[in-house]
Parts: sequence; structure tokens; C-alpha cells
Amino acid sequence: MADRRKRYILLAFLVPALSFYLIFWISPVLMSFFYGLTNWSGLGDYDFIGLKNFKYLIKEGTMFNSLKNTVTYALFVVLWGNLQALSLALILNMKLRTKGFFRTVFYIPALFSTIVVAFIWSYVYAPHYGMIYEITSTIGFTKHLNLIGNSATALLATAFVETWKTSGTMTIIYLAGLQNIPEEILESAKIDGCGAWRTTWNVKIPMLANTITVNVMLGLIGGFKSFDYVFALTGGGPGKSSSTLMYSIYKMAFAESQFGKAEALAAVAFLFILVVSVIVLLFMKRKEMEA
Amino acid sequence: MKKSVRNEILVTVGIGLFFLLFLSPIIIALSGSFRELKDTSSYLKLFNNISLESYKEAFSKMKYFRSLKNSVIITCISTCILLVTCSMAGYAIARLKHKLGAFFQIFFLAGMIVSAQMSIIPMYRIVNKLGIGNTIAAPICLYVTAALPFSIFLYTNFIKSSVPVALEEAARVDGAGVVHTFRKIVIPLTKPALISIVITQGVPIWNDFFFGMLFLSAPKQKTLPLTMLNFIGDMENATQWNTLFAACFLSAVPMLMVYMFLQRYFVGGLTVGAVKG
Repeated sequence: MADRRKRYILLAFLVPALSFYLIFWISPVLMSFFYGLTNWSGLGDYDFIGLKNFKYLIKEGTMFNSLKNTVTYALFVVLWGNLQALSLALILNMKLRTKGFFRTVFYIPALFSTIVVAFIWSYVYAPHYGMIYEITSTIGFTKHLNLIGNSATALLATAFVETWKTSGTMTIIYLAGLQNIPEEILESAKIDGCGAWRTTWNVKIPMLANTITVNVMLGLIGGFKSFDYVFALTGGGPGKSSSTLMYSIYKMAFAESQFGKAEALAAVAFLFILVVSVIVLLFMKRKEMEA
Repeated sequence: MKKSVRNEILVTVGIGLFFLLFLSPIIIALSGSFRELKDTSSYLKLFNNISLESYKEAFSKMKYFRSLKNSVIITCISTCILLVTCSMAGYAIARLKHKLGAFFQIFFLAGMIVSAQMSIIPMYRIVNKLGIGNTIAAPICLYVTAALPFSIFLYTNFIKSSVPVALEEAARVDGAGVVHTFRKIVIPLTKPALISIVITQGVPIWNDFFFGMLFLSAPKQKTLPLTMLNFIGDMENATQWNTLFAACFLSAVPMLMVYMFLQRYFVGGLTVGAVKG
């Protein structure tokens, strides 16, 4: 009897969170999938058109282009972000007296709003007067880099801004992971004659497996959902060279009144992110077991 | 001994240089924000004149105090509702029967892969149907919802790893009900997780512009990040950058101050989820 009562109360505890979640998160997503099968413009009437939106997206190239851009962006954020954060954490963990100071300073970009970060970096990248332009011309470069105005570099230049903002968080997470490694293990590695390199490579990094999984998943999901910097820095351009999934969806829905098509792409994005995240998570967990 | 001191100095200098490069955009922006409005010389001349003209201009364009107040109100209400809802749900998930709990945990966690951009128009319609369109309730509800998946995940895991079931059993034997146990035993023991949720979710809510952009159209409702959107047009205009930089710092200052005073909570809060989760 008492157990049953407890269960009802626990289920009642779920109600507030569940209401928010079902009303504002799940039902809009389900509605979107439905609209993906229609030709709705976002206003007025619509017809049910089956899979035509998907065919259109494939034929016109938006689907492949935005998937490719999103994957590139996410890969860059995961690889570069983790490489940078892990190396910094390893260096800062070397019992430096200045560690606390550097850790504090390094976290500052993470406190800024993405829109503020986008403003600062649009100055850095600005052609003709930006920071990169000024520095390269001061040291005598005559060929001017226009990183966000060039379709070959715009996407990665945008992804770089994301790693700039998130690396402080990642580094702090890695530092905590490093501090969790028991001192005895490092001691015994030392007694066994492991040098600094071998200790890092064969002891510390395997012991960080769990932390690496956390940071990889955070970077991956953040990268897949990238929108803010594309929105504020490049507007998806030049052309569609930096248009990610979320930005393409947003633009089709809002600027182009092609809501049906936008939602068809959202359905593809949802499935894609779900499948890839689960696969990567399982892979990382298996690696953790091995490590 | 001497060698290790030399190494430390070398590493410190190396990292110092890296950090200088890393923070150079912020340093240049800071120096630019203190310039006179008409000064359009190269921004690489750091702090060549110190004036508050640009700040005055940005301050009045942003309607600073009004926007600051809006930001504070929206962030505080969202975070409070989030804490209540996610801790209740997280506790329930941790203590429900194995299968049911696991189902809800995955059900909520799956929300992490959803992004608001995917379903803006349905969200918009739902918000209007509920009669909260164009009120601050709309972004607040969405901030809470968007933060729930990660918060519940973190909180559930924290309970499972640091709140002994035996302690709750003992309270029950003493006649305490579920609600009482939750309030008097679970909540105090999970303070680190709650702080972590405030830090990892509260900062993004404070900084967000997307939901505000969708749901708040009246100028008097704008938050700090939203006022920044008004400056987007000025980016094309090289002469406007002094004011823009000042606006960037005006909008970042409140969070920087909070960070300065509560730094240890930030570092602790970021790592709770990562290490225990």
C-alpha cells in the first residue's frame, strides 16, 4: 500500500517537467514532421503532398549541402576543440603556480553571449579593416585573407569561433578529469620508469576516457545544432557554402516561406543527429571499456 | 631543482603568449570601446585614447537599465522554474522502478538532440494558442523546456551516485512522506548538482537571443542580447565599430561580474556533471 502511494507521488513529481516537455518540445517536433509532408507556406491552407519535399531537397542539393556543412562543422569542433582543450589541460595540470589565473582567464569567452562573440569575430575577420587584415598587412602580406567572404574557408572560420568560445569549458572539464586520476597510479608509473610522454599517453589519456566521451558528445551535439554563428557571421554564405542544417531550416521557414520543405529537412536532421549521436556514444563507451 | 624552475618559467611564458593571442580579439575590442567616436585609426593601436563617448552612445542606444532588468527577470524566473521542475522529475526518475525510470530518463535525454530551429512555427502557434504570445512567459517556458533534458539527466545521475537509498528508507521508517524526504534530505544533499544546473543552464539562458528574437517584439521587453541585434546593420559600417565594441562589453559586464565573485561555483558547477555523470 505504502509502496503504491509512493509510486503515485513520484509519478506526480514528473508532471510539471513532463508538461513543459510535451507541450513545448515534443508536440512541435511531431507537428513539424507532419508539415514536412505538406506544401504549407507557414500561413493559410496547405495540401498533403507525400514525399515531394524530400525529393525536392535532394534534387535541388540543399539536403546534401547542409548535411555536408554540418558534418564538417561538427567534426572540426570535436577534433580541434578537444585537441586544444586536452593539450591545454595537460599543460595547466603540471603544477604551475599560474594555473588558477590561466584557468580563470581562459573561461572568459564562455561567459559572452554568442551574439557578442559573433560581433567581435566579425571585426576580426572583416575585410579591409579587421584584425587579421591589419596584422597580415603590417607584416607585409599583400594577398589579403578574407576568411568569411570566401566560400572555401567561411564554414571553418565560423566553426573556429565556436571552438574559441567553448574551449574554456572543455578545458575545465578535462582539468577536473585529470585531477580525478589517483596520485598512486601516477606514482607507480613513475617508479616503473615511465617518462612524461609515456605517462601522458599510456596512463593519463586512457584514464580520461570518460571525460573524453563527455567532451566529444558535447562538441558533437553542439556542432550538429550550430546556428548562432552562421546566423550572425556569414548568413550561410557566400552562396550556401556555410549553410548548416539548422540555418537552412530557419531560412527556408522564415525568409523563404517554404515551411513544408523546411520541416522535411528538419525531419532528416532529427534522424541524422539521433543516429549519429547514438552510434558515436556507443563507440565511445566501447572504447572506454577497452581503456 | 633549478631545471624544474626554468621549465616552469618557459612553460608559463609559452602559455602566456598563447593566451595573449587567444584573447587578442577581446583586448582589441576593449581598447576600441574606449575610443572617441570619431577615431577611426587602426585598432591595433591599443588604448591610444581613453574616452567614454562610445559607452555613452551604446548605453542610450541599448536602453541599458531597462534591458538589464529584463534580462535579470527572465533569467531568474526561468532558472527557478527549471530547478523546481527538473529536481522533482530527476528525483522521480532516480527512484521509480528500474524500467519505468530508465524509460523516462531516455525519453527526456532524447530532447537534447532537438534544436529549436527545427520546429519554430509550431512552437509559435502553440505559444499563441496558450495566450502567452508576446509576453515574457513565452521565452521563459521555452528556456525551461530546452534546459530540461540535460538538467534532468545530470540531476538523476547525481542522486543515483550520491544520495544513499538507505538514508531515505530511514526517514521513511521515522514516518516522513515522499515530499518531506525530498525536501529535507534529497534537496540539501544535491546542492552541488543544483548549482551545476544554474551555471550550465543559467548562463546560456542569460546569453540567448533566439527565443527572445522569436517571441518578444516590443522594444520594452528586450533583453541585453536582443538589443545587440539592433546593431547588426552597423557591422557593415566601419565607423560604427567603437560604439559596437562598447555595446559588446556593456552586455557582457554583468556576467563577468557574477563570474568574478562566484568563480569557484563556476568551476565546480561545470565539472559536477562531467565527472559524476
